[in-house]
Parts: sequence; structure tokens; C-alpha cells
Amino acid sequence: MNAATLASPMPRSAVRTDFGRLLGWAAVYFTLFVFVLFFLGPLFVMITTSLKSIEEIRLGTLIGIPRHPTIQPWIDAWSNACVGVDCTGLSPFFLNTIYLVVPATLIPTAIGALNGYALTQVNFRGQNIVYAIILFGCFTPYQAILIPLAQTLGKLGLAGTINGLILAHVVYGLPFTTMFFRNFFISVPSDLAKAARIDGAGFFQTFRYVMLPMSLPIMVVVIIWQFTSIWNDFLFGVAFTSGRNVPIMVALNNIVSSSTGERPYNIDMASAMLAALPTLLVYVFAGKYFVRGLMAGSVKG
Amino acid sequence: MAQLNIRSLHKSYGNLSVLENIDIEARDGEFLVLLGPSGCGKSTLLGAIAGLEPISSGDILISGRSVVRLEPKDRDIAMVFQSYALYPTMTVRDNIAFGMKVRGVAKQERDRAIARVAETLQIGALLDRKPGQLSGGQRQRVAMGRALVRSPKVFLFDEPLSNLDAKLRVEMRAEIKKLYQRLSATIVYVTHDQVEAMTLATKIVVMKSGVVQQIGSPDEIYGRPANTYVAGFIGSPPMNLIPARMRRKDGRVLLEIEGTGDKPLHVAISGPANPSVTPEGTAVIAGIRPEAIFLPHEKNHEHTQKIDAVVDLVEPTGSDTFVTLNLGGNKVIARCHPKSALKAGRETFLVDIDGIQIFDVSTGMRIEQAGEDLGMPPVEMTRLASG
Amino acid sequence: MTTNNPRATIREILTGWPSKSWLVLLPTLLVTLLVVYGYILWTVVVSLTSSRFFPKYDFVGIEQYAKLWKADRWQIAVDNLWIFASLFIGLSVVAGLVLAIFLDQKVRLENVIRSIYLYPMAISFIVTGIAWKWMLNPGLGIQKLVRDMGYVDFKFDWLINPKMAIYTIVLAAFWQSCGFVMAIFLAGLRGVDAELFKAARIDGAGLPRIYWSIVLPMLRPVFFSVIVILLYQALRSFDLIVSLTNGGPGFSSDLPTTFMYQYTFGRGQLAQGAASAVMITMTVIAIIVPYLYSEIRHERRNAR
Repeated sequence: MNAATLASPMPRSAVRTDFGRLLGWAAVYFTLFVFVLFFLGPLFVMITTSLKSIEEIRLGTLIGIPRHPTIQPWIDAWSNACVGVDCTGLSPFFLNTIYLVVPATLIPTAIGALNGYALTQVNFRGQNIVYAIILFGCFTPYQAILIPLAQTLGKLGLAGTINGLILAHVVYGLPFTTMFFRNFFISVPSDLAKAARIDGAGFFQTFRYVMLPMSLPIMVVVIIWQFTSIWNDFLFGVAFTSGRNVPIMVALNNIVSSSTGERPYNIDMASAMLAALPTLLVYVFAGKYFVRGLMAGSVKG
Repeated sequence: MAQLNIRSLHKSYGNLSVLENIDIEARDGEFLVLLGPSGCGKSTLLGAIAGLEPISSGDILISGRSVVRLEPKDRDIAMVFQSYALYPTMTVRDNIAFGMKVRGVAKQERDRAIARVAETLQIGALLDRKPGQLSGGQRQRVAMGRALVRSPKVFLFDEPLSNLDAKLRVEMRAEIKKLYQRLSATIVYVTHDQVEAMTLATKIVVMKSGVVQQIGSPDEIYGRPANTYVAGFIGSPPMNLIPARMRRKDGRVLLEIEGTGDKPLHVAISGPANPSVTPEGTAVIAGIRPEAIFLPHEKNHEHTQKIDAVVDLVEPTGSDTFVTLNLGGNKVIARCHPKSALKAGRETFLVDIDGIQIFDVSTGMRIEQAGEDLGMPPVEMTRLASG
Repeated sequence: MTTNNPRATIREILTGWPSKSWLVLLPTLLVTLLVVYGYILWTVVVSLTSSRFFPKYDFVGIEQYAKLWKADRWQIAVDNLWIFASLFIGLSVVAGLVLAIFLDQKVRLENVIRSIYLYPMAISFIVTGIAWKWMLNPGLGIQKLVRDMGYVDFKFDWLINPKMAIYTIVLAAFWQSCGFVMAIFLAGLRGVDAELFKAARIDGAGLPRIYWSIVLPMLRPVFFSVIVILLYQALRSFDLIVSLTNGGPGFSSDLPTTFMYQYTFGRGQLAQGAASAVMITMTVIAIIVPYLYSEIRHERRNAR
């Protein structure tokens, strides 16, 4: 980038400086704008394609605005897109994922809040070791646990079921929720817990009445984080569920890659948009919390 | 209300000793101030009284009952924190009521207690606000309200004023004093601010590195510091500490200080109560408060002695003018009247002989002088405060 | 901590806060020990057997590893990983940093632009893969678009070209993560004291010089974190490959992760899959453990 023209604080002549500065600003805005196009491009293409008929797709261009917009692809994607011969659309899988995401978000969040509190409000021997053990869990390479977890779920009679998937997301969500809450509670002044103790509150009362209400913002972050991770998960879904039990991203991939006849690109795009919509909405309406989680939990990417 | 006894209290982390052999007694209604620089162990000691810090050995008694094995909540104490430690998600009312709530006090009684405290501290209008909506001074009041509402046996204050700006600090200090006079409660108050200590305390405990240096009334601490550490810590500017030698001549005891020029300065003092402590020629440290050095026209004092000194620096502060003197190579500060015109150069000063303390060179301990109890100079508190 | 030693009784210890902390943490600790550490060990054990469709605990030593490193497909996957990781990290860091610096020049609509750069992070890799697969489709995508504009010889067939397929993954992964890298750098830049800029200007330094000689060196820890995070992300990339190329054409765009999945769940080569998983794990540990160590040490230093 031409950063050299951004500004020159020691001007040889005022004219040159003004020109240089102008060029600098132009370069900055031009670059930023090009990247705006780059990032918005795929979204734009997905939306427009999803509103076109298959004829228009074949005859028109990639970036053309739909001339005869239709929401039929969205309806098809929702209720009768096919995986092989099974033409149910995305809707049952959407519901699967909601059934999955609610407990798999709330349970680790609740436990993580208590864990984070327990890790910070009192000093006890081995505290740092316990935290390090749990923290490393955030970096578990999931390939290394797929085989044992599949075996375990099989032994528990949960192979291929959503409940098995819930269990997987709960246990591997715990390190993250614990880390988030721990990093929040460690910034809470220790005087608060001391004051509560002098006021007569016990360990759990201090948590319930003093700490938990304070942690509301981080709780939103954790819930959003956990929700987004689970909603967007593919690996666990594809490894531990099958058939009608798969979560939305697995279903989406199945719909898009099932190859019977001509590819209905418009329905593919509508399906992808439908699957992406919940997390996109979260981003639009709670972007602040989403980004906070992203920055704090960047390890999971 | 109650008395507080701390008996041979020790606390250490591994080999590191943070509190050593602490013995303190506070009678019923005492305003006990723990004073010392940061890291001296005063807050740790307060935490130990509260039950927030475990101790290694020793005993703490409140109203004659050992509390070391009791949880903080069972010790019948209340504490005001430096950071106030108000629960941010609760209203002022709930903050004050929280202690009673977790103890299961009935709502009616809680409301009555809150009303009483709100009245006392004039925070009635703030009851429904959250701590985040309060100013520093208001938070301070709420923090005190939370302690007050419990009517405990002992109040603990951990540097409660250090987060306030200078003006508010003076106001709140006066309020705490008024409150104390009204409640006549037993209070343990931690501070590093000697002015707070002098103005509030009935008894001051000066601490350094986990060891008690001196326990006494503000007058005693100021007028008769137990050692050079206390002498150098209390007062602003602190006591001048000057190397000197004991001389005896014609039955009189003289303190020989390096003077200006070749001639040493001899100051007649009453001498140690026990003459054998300091035989002829013993090196000692002479302690002279800045206000005991002044210009001849400023004060009429019976026991004074002239000294010649070189004025190095004149610093007017408005109420006083601090003059830095060079006395035989030693830097000495004198507190002079602001109206006294002074210039750099040689000048003659008077030293109040009754105000001279002597300290042992090696131990730093104060050496008791003969007839001292009678000749205690009055302490002028206003001067201290203005420093 | 709650009881005043040394006279604390057993009962006091048991009802103290540390004991309650342990009580709270114990389930998570045990679960983590089992499902993270225990399972990794279990995978190591499987990798030392000859298991096919089902685990069979007959120990055959490091035979699976020898086989793994002799397999062409694994070699390609490993080569692909390094191509992918180095390009993906290099591009993301450079572009992310430049965008962050540009956005930090008090530009208009900063919030809007930032939100646009960052939204791909809210989308799943599957959706990203589908979108790019559609755009990179030679018949109907960008190639056709450019040809329709008159450049009839234009060729952009990476998706179906075995030599180029891995670069489509670089492109899509870059699209997804670039804004995130930008956000991390921007946060780092916002942490630089504004007075520093003033001081450097008074010293006569121009903006490029200030960034190059003063700001970037200050961001060194940020670079370090970003690279570790991206490397980790590259190592665990799986969904994107599945939805964009599914490792194809053939297995030309396989990564170790897709290799592992294919062998374990697709071809019933459990032990071989486990051996590849162990290789992935060892790489992750080699990157993450020093990183965590330095982070925790840093935190402790700051806490003092």
C-alpha cells in the first residue's frame, strides 16, 4: 500500500503536502472500498442467485440483479429440497438444531459461570494448575477425540442421536465457558467478595447475589459464542449424527452436494442463506457481544 | 461496643514474615488508627481482625471472646473498604440491606434500619440509585451506611478516604469524626495519611515492615516519637534528625552539633534520665521539629539557644514558610512565619531546647530525658494539618 | 484462606470456600481430564493397533505411522497444509494489518466498514464454502462473468484444476478471517498512546516512518498472537474444505483433517485415521503449549 503518501509532516512546500495528503486519503478510501466489495460480494451473489429462477441463472451473469425476483427457491429450500430421495427441505434440520442448541448452550454457560467464579474468588492450592488443565481443553484438536467420543457415544446408546451431539457440545463447550467467565471474574475486585463475606453471605450466596448479576454482559457474550459455535458446527454433527438427526450445517452440505440431476443453484443459495440467517441476525443485533466473544475466544476461530 | 485485644499475633507466608508479634489493646470506644507506609502490614492486620486473612499464631479477642476461629460474619464487625466494594448491580438500599437479608432479618426491620442509617448519613435521596450513578463522596457514604446499619461491636475502615479528592477528603474526615463522637463506637482505621491519623485517632499504632513501632495517643506519637523511624514519619516536614555528641561541662549536659564554620555548636539540654546511658562523647541523633527552630523576633520562649546557620532555600506555603538551613553540613528545615523576610545567606535562629529529642545512634530508640514529663511542649495541630 | 490456621478443624476446612471451589470445579476437571486428555491418549492407543472398522486392541507398534508417511495422499495433505497455512497466514496478516492501519485514520463510516469486514466470522465455513464454490464455478461463476465481458480467453478454473484447487481454499479462508485479523490489529493500534504519534511528529517522523519504526514493533505481541491463532485455525480447517472442494479434484486439495476424517469414517481405517490424528495433535501441542505458557506467564507478570 502506498502508505508513504498518507501524510508528510515536514512539508517542502504547502502545495505538495496538500496534494500528497489528498493522494493519501484517496488511497486509503479506495483500498477500504475495494475490500468492502470483496467482503460483500459473496453475500450479494448468494442473495441475488437465491432470488433468480434457474433459467435466469443459466442465461444471466453472476452479478446480475434478478429481473424477475422469486422467493420460490427459499420456499423450496425450507420445505422440499432433497437429500438423495428424501425431500424434506431444511426445516426439520433447522428444528433439530434448535433442539440441540438450547441445552448445549445453556448447560455449559451455567456451569462455566460457577467454574469461573470458583477459579477466581478464593485462592486455593492448585488453582492455576486446574485452570491450565481446563484451558488447554479449548485447544483440543477435535480429530484427536473423534474416535474415542464416537466409541463412548456408541456405548451410551447415543450414537447417531441429537442427544449424543448435545453431550459432545456440552463437554467441549465447558473449557470455553469456564475460560470466559474466569477471565471476567478475575477482573472483579476481590473486595466485593470480601464485603459479601463480612455481610454474612456464603460461597454460593455471594455467587448468586453479587457475582452472577454482575456477569450479565459476559453471560450474553458466552451465550452468543456458544450458540454461534454450535449452530455453525459441522465436524461433530457429521461425525456423531446421521440421517434425519443431523444438524443444519450437515443437512445443508448434504443438500448442496447431493447430485441428482441438474444443480438447482438458486435453491442451494437459498438454503445456505437460511442456514446462515440465525447467526447473521445475531451479528446484526448483538454485534458488540459477538465481537467481544470472538476476540476473547479467538482460539476456536 | 466492645474492646479489642490482639495478642502476640504472627502472620507469615512461608519464610516471609508479614506481621510480627503484634500486641494491641483498644478499649471500648477507642478510635484506633493503624498508620504506616504501604506494605507495612496495616491492611493485612485489619484483614486478620476481619477474618479475611488467616493468621499464623496469636489471638484476637473482641469483647474478651477469641474470634480467630470465627467466620467474618460471626465476628460482629463491619468494614468499610478502600474501593468501597459496593455491589454494582444492587441499589443503594439493597447494598445496605444485603447483610441483613442474608441473615434473614425481616423486611420491616430492614426498612427501619435503612431509614435510620439514611437519616444519619443523609443519603435518603440516593436509596434507589445504583452505585454507578453516585459520586465518589456519595459512594463513600453508602459504604459507611452499609457498615453502620449493622451496629457491630467493631468498625473496620480500610483507607476509606484515599480514593477521594483533597477537598472531599477533608470534609469526609470531619464527618467520620463527628460520626464517631456520636456513636462512640470502637473503630479500627487503617491509613497511610498521618493527618488523618492525628485528627481522628484516640490511639495510633505506627507500623513498619509488619512490626509495631509505637502505640500512643497522637500527642505522644508526635511529641515523643519512640524511635527515629516514627520521628521521621510523623510531621510534615518531619523531624530534623541531626548527628550529635553528648558533652558534659560544669555539671551541665550539652549536645554538640556540627555548627557553621569551624566552631561546633553546644546546646544545653536536660540530659538523659539515666546518665549512664550516654557517657561523655557518645554519638547520638538529635531530633528537632521544624517548628522548634525559628527567628528571634517570631516567638518568645524561655529555653532557647541561638544558632547561626546558612539559609539555602526559602519555600513559602502561605501559612508557613519552610526554610532549609545548612547547619554544619546537615540539612535542617525550620518552620518560620510567612511574614519574616528571609534571604539566602547567614542568619541567626533560635532553637527551642525543650523541643529537642535524643535518639540512640545504633538502635534508633529514643533516649528518655530528665524531667521530661513536665516539660512536654504542646502540640499545635493546626500546623500539622496545614502541612 | 477462610480459616485462621493453625487451629482449623477438619470441619472448618470442609466448609471453607476453597473446598467449595473444589466441589464446583471437580466435575468439570474430571470431565476435561477424561474427554480431552484421556481421549487423546485413547487415540494414541488406537493408532498403535491395526484397527479397521472397529477398534481392535492388538499392538502393532508404529506400523501405522510408517504406513502413513509412505502414503501419497498423506504427503499431499501435509504439503497442502503448509501451502495453505503459509499463504493464508501471510495474506491475512498483511491485509488485516493494512486495513487496520487505514481504518485507524479517523475515516468516515468506520463502524459500518468494520462491521462489513467482520461479518464473515458470523457465517459457518460450510456456507462460505458453498458461496465460493458457486462463484468459482467455471461454467457459471467469475470465469463466465469475465468472458461475457469480452475476454473470451479468460481462465479461472482453480476449483477443478488439481494443481490450483488448494488456492481456492486459501481464498475462501482469507475472505472469512481477514476481517477478524483486522479487528485484532485495530484493537492493538487503539492501545497505542496517541501522544506517541505527537511526540514522533515533533521529532520529525512521517506517518509511514512512525508506523514502521514505532508502532509495528510495539505490536509484536499482537503479531505473535495473530500468527498462532491463524496457524491453529489452518491446522483445524475441515468444514471449509469439505464444502468447497471436498478434498478434490481427486484428493488434490486434501488436508490432514480431511484425510483423517476420510480414513476414519469413510474408509474404515480407524488406526490409520488415529495415527493421522496424533500427528495433527502433536503439531497443535507444539504450537499451543508454548503460546499458553507465555500467555499465562504474561498474565501473572501483569497481576503482580
